[in-house]
Amino acid sequence: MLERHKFVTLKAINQPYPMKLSERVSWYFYDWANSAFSTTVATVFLGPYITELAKQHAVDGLINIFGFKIATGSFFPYVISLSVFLQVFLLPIIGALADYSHL
Amino acid sequence: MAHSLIIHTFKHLPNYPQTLLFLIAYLLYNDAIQTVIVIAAQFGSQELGLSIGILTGVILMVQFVAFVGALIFNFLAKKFGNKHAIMISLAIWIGAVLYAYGLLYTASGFIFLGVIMGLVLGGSQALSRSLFSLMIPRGKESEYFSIYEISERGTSWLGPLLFGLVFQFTGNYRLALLSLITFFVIGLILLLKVDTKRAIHEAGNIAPLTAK
Repeated sequence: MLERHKFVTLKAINQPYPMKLSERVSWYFYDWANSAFSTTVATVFLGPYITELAKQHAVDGLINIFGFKIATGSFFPYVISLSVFLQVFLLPIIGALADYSHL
Repeated sequence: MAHSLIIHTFKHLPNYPQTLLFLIAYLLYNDAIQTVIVIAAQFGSQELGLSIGILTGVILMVQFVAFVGALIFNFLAKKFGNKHAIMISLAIWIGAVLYAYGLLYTASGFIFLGVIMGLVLGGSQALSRSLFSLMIPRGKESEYFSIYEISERGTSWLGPLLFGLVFQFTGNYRLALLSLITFFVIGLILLLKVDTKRAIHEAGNIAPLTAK
């Protein structure tokens, strides 16, 4: 649902168009399995779970993260925000690594 | 190398001003959509006190409804054009956020909202992608779609941050959710200003019947 994984790497850009059937089938199955993870874990469980964890460690509805007082309900959105922000820098590097290491 | 190719494409993007305008509109409303998806379960459990069982059921249901929704929006796109179909979906998104802010208090309300979201989810995402594909130069699809994906990642931290900040200062999940309406409204206004035909023409493509 979030489609975080469908990042186009340099390899995909330079690929001659018709890929081998086996390669495409592997990709379909990868996406099928990965979608199940993102739909259940990331969409349903993570938000409530992380928020409950934050509440258990809160004092007056606030948790202390490296000196920042964070509202328990804001912790999960902040973490998501940070994770997306980091992806911008990490995904192109990981993509390039995958291209050059033939993984 | 990946970075330099992306920078190269970004430099060429102003040559297609209508495509750029659409991309900005898409980034705004898509950010709001992604944030609503990520935050929905937290809202359901914390604000409405729903169990994980109900949340799982609703998310499962959304998948099936989204299938029907994609078919409906395919029909709407054929009838009214791609851009207008996306605008209809955004208007429904705005309605859904307002409903969640003011009227959503029960499990059945949450299920109702799930149905509405499922119906518009496929429409807004699939149609945006297909509209963008018409607005980019032929033979450079991969290049421009990497820009599409990277810009999405590059801005979609804003929605959760806004939601988090509003909750931090108000302690109110409903207000935090309502704040996302800003992205939907500005995205909708910018989309309204996009001249689809010109964008397709500038990219050197021929407009299909759905590009009204």
